[in-house]
Amino acid sequence: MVVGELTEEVELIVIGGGPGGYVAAIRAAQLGLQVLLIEKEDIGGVCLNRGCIPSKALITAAEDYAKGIKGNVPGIEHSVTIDFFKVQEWKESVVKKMTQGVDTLLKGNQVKILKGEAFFVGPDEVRVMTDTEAHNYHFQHCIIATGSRPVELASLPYGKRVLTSTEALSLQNVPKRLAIVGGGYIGIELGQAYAKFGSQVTILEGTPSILPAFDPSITRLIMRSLKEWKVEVVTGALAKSAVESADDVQLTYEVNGEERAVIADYVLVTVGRRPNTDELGLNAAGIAVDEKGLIPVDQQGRTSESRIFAIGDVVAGPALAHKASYEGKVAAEAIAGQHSAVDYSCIPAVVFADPEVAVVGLNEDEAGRLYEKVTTGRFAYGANGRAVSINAAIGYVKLIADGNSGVLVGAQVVGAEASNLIAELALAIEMNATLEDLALTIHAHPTLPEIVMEAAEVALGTPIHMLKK
Amino acid sequence: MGIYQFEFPELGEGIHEGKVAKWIVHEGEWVREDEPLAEVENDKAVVEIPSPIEGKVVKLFFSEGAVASVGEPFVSFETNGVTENSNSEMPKTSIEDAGLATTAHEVKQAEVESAGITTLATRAMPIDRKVPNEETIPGRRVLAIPSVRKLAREHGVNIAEVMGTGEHGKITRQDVFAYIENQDGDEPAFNTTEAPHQIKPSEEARKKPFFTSIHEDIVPLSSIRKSIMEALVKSKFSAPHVTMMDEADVTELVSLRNELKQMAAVREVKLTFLPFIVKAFIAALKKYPYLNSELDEGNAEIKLKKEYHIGIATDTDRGLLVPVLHHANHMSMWELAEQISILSSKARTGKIKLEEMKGSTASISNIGSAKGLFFTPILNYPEVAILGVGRIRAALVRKDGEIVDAHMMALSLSFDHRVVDGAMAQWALNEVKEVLADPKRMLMEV
Repeated sequence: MVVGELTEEVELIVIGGGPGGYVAAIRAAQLGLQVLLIEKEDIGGVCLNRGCIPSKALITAAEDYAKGIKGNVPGIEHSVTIDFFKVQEWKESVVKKMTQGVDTLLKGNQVKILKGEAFFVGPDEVRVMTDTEAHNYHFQHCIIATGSRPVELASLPYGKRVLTSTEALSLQNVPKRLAIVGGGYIGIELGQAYAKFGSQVTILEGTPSILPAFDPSITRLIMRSLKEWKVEVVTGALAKSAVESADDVQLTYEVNGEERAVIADYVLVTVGRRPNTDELGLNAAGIAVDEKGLIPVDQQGRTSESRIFAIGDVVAGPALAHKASYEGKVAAEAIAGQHSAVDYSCIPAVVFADPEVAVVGLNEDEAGRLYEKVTTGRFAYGANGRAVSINAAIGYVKLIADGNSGVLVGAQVVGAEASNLIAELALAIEMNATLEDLALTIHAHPTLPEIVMEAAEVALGTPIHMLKK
Repeated sequence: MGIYQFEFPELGEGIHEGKVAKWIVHEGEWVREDEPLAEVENDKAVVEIPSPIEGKVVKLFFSEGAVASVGEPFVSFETNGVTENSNSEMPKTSIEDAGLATTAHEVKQAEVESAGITTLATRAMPIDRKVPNEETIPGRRVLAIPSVRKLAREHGVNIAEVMGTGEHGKITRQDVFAYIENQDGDEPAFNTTEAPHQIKPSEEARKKPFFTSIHEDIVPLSSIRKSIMEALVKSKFSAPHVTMMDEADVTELVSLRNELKQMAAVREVKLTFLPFIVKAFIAALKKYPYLNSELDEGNAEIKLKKEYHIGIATDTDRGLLVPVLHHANHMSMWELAEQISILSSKARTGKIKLEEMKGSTASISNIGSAKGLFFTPILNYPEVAILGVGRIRAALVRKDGEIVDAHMMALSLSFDHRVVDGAMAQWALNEVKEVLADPKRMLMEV
């Protein structure tokens, strides 16, 4: 084929192959659309390649190692060693397995994949630069699913030893000392993982608390665990500069007006993410972004240009893979002529910290502002048979309900498997379940979800496994 | 003793205001719960507003004839202590008992009470109407499970408008179907003279998914807009209209009006062409009385009206209103000019009374003021004729073998072809033309 300005016609172009884009592509293909998926790096996006999946693999490895060195069940003695290179190899194999799976699904659904960088040259045309050529595609519809990237601090430019989470996930050795700027969920997850691998970790957080979006009773439990693993946490800290040398990096920061420094092998900067909307040629498409760089969309994900949709991290809302996937399905269905809309009651959010944290819906304060009366029920892991028998007695489930109707409006889980327990609670909220519904549903014994049932009974005033005060 | 302030309640879906037609109570009077306070009129009906509580009327916030909007202070009461303490519940039952369903939000009741005044947002609406789900507090959810929300979307139903019959107002699949069903058939049975076309979402509109969009702003229909829709649909679908179009040579009328302008200025009257057109129209109606009639299909008869009440279609911010020049045939040109200017200003400022918009026997619609020429006016049903007036344009016309400057006025006469045939309509239009062309004839018509 001649290289040049030949324009090809495509029904649907999806820009970005992350958890938003590939899901949208598959759903659109299922609905009979001819789909071209453009991905500039790896299918699966940040989530599969540089985010959710590899970080969870590393966290699991760290957990495993920690059990080895600290012991889990008394009487079982381990002698553990770590070959971090092999751990990384295993992690890579996990990622590969997942991305290959996605690749197979895309191909099986007849989605055409093109590796390259796409930008708009008009409201119905994109230009794709591959390694070897440039090609224009004229589309009937387009879904922008380009995701987000780590915010770079002007004072701490990324370099050999100042890392984003991507590099931090791929270190070939366990660093002796790791400094983390940002006590959000990525900072806490990776900080705890590396602390378990043996790194001496310092976390600097600008606000007065780590995980600032979460309730203090949640962060207290995380702080306790961080302390146990000798992670130093400095709150109210403002990172000023990082000076790299051949062997280490000196991070200077200010706290309470006092300048301090920490020397580390690496500094991980994780202070938020920004949408990838600046290099897409959105002007040419006639689409404007807001002051945060986000693309305004309607309830189906449609932008101001009705042929173009946007989903995931490039639109408003939490930058979460599961939100992107949901929106991807809605956009694909809308393009296929269905009446789908972004219409969820809640989005669960999980922090794979130690202990795990998972929240959904409203917290108690938010509920208090919306409902005249709020009822809560909290039940501790320590009184649950399964929790104690897996040696994970730390944590609790808290339910928040409309006090008048008993309808569940929010839930918080801190403790082992919180990431899995939250699913029942998200379903309960979507199904308008009441505290009674939860209490009257038989939960298998002995399992962690019994804590949910007990928490509902606490809220109703009749817990079996807890004495009333 | 406590003060209880009663806010003007919603009278029905989409009805956000009402005119206080008559106060039944007066200040200082002791009223019991449920006793009527006032008669309030909207474009659909007159509704009695019952008292939410027992107490002494301290203040009536509106004078008769004034328009009250939902949520505005309406009546304040002095109540005894018992009532004050329990009034968060009381208004609810009282209005329900009176045949109105209420959803009440006791929002931060404590805060308000501590300020010494108890307020309560009551939203009263006739019980046979759909009661929107209670969740009007932003952020609060409408109780409906995802599959039911999807069902609603697929049928173009705003889930927030569906009344939930489940526990705690939860909306079930059946509720969504009931809502759709209601939209199809909750109108009363019509008699034969009424059009079978009622305003309801079309099949297509219903299939449109409900969601908000950045491509469109959703504007709920005002009660006036709804009335306009209903009236026009009824007219267009029951009376087969035909429109005759023609031009009147108003050269002489233009110069006459120019002469009279000074006199008008002295009298402080704004003299437009409209009074002349009214006169000319009445001349034609008199000559062709079938154009000033009403078809009574039920009794198989045509009522020829002996009075000439001319409706004047008036463009206002709130929508098209048609104030009526009652007994226009008895009015002098000056009286017509004055009356037109009073009525149109009342219509524009929203001060027009319902009776000032009733009883017309034929109407005039003027598109000339908006620079329009010919058009096909819709009858102000059940009238049989409407005269559409276009702009006056300068033209060269042949008169007595010579090309002369003239002023031509565009006229469009729509009529109900069930009552009047084309020839008669054209003769009537010719009469209008002739009178307008020869202002001296107007003298004879007074």
